Amino acid sequence: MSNRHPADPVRAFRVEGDGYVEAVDPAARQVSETVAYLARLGAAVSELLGAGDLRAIEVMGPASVYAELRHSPIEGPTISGLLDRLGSSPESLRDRLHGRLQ
Amino acid sequence: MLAVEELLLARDVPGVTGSFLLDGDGRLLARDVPVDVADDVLVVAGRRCGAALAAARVPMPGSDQVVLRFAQLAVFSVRAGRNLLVLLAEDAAETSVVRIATRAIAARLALVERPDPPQPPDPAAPFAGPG
Repeated sequence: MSNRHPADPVRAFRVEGDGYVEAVDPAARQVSETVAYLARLGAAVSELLGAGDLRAIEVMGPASVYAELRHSPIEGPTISGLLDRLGSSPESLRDRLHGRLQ
Repeated sequence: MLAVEELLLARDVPGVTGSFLLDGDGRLLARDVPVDVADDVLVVAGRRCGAALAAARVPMPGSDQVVLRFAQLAVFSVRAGRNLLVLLAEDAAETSVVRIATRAIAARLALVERPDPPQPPDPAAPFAGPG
């Protein structure tokens, strides 16, 4: 997993269904572990509100995150996401993530 | 203005269908959610939303909004001072629009310290205050 340019503020991360984390640096790793925890909280919220599968998680502030989940009947969800240290919009991160996935 | 009246203003935000407000201790201050969702369900769900926002602030200090996008709706957790504003929205609601449109509402809801006084029940109303 690599970024397009060393100065690029966006970092990619991925959490496999078995919990294996792939991240380009320690900051992205810490965020990926946090997002995995948010996914667990989201599953609990879904049960309470009858909201269905959790599909994406976004965090906004000085930094921003956009992450998508793919669910498996066998193990936990696979999470693919981007962290932007400069806090760009989740929509732009979503578009960029989809560009990566193409 | 009652807190629930501020919550009703959130319905003018594109995609937002309801909302509720918890204080810093996770107690329900106001709600604009269909009456078939019990207060304690909102409290438990809201506390998890608060935990999500708190967790996000560990690696990303200053984070003030977490969005959980589900198959059937989106849940926006927004810091409002010591309070937590939780918005329920259509799954396609645009984060940037909701973020901008709720900034003033969240600022006013940050000043709420106690639940609204009980209002006379209106059996014809589809929504109710905290009960």
